[in-house]
Amino acid sequence: MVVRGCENRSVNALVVEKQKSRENLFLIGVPCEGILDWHKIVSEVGEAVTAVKEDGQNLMVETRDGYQLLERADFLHDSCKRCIHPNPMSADILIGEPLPEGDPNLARTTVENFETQTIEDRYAWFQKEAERCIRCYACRQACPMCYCEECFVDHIEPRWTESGATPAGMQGWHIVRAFHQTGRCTSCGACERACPMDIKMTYLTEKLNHDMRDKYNFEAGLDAQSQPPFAAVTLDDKNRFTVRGE
Amino acid sequence: MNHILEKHTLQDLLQSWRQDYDVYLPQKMENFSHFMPLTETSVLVDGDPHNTRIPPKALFLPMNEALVKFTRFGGYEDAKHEIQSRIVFGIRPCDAQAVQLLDTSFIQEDNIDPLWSERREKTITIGLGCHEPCQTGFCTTVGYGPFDRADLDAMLTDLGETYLVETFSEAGEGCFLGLPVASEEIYNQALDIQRSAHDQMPVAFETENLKGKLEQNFKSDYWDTVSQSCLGCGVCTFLCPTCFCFDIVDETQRRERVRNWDSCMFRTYSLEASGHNPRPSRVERTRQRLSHKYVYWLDQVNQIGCTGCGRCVRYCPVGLDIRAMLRQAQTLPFEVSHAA
Repeated sequence: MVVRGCENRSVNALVVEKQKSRENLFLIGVPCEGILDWHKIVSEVGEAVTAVKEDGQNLMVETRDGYQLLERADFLHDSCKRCIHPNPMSADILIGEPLPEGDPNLARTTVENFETQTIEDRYAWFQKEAERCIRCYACRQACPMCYCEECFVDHIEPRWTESGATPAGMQGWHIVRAFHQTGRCTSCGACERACPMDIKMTYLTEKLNHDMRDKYNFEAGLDAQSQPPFAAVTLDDKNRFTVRGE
Repeated sequence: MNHILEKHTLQDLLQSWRQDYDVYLPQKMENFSHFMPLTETSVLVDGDPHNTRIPPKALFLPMNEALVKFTRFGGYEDAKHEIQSRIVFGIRPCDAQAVQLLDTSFIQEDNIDPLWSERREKTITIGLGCHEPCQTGFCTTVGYGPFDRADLDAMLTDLGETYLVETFSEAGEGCFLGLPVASEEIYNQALDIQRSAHDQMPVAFETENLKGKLEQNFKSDYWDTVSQSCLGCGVCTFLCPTCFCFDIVDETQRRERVRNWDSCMFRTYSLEASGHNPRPSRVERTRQRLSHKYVYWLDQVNQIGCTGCGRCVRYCPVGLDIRAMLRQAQTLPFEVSHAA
């Protein structure tokens, strides 16, 4: 398998969850400079794009009317812009020169921009995003960590959330999808990239990822052994998230 | 009759329709356009060469809608839907064709979907032809075109500062009463634009013998190859203007029986109560999606069930391209003697 940083983390997380066997995999690592977001290119250049060529840090965009030169870094997917670990950390061989690590504060900013809003504004934002959903489940299918044989939304009895594209159904889907990723999301951003309705959803998983880093000093997929904190049980568990715990 | 509509008077005209109709037209939603009801403050989308992201089939078959409401003590009643008279303005010809195709499924002699048919009867559709064909569309390849009339009541051709309005029905004519009649010269100018748009559309794949090839190669490895990168999400089917599958679900907490859009690309679509799944993998599901459009529609109504809008190409998260899949299908072996 040829893997970028995020994909290497996903492989690790899947090995931890016993979905993949590391001995059966040979990982060819490639340091990743980020994936281009064609929506961003189209909104800058217009619809008449016929081809895009990468040339170092530049993008040569060919349109029906001629060429336009863009700066590559401005047209990355949001998740790639704030990527902390662009280098595969446990590949069997590495191709290319390792890149500098990303700035963890950038990931933090996404969370802060959301957290500093009032509760009403946060809910309004969540509603605006979630309620564009068409329940196509492209986010789920693209997610490296969504591998359940039967997803909770497909379960009929009991039904965990409304089935259709209703406000309750859409909100239920987006909340539970995110929470199932607690301590498991590797920040690859595949969910947002796959969404046909341009729904922002990594602000939810980034918040969970931040809490995992902050409260448990844990980041999913950094190695192929560590259990996500919410999946691990220890006898000296502090139980600090219950009201009377300590 | 043919009229001339000055673009700067469009907003007033649309607003005047609101006295008698609900008016739906593409409006900006985030980075795309979406059919929404016109309000006093609606801003028209100007210059979007694309069709709306969600196809207008949703105006006739909503993503989610209650069919039955359960009452106390085991009773039930029909869910009430107040269906207003509407004008849908700015529908693209590929989407108008798609709605007309769907009539063959929802309005059959002895089997009429009452909600679909009432919405169709109460809707005047005014098309907007595509003078700048979009990159992923392939309407002419599948036998349609960027200025096809379908069963539109009227259609607009963009002439820069003005639109040429062609009306095809009494209802369509009624929407544009009092507008100046277009001269022969302007009409010819519009016809040139229409022809040139049609000619700009490339042939995306050959359709000759395509149906036979897909049928005869039902068990071919071809299906493994073309479905390999498929994620199994519902983007291609939900954004498809001719996909119409739905699921009926009892939402017990709301005490409603609802119908939701469903997709043949989902595992649960063909999953049977016994646990058996006749389409166990994405290979069979991909074959079903393509065959429905390029084989079964032809068997049923002798028309290709794809109008070439290009949404599935544009929005597939992994870049699967039905045009390339069908070009590849054209290389499959084919025996003419079988075809009869």
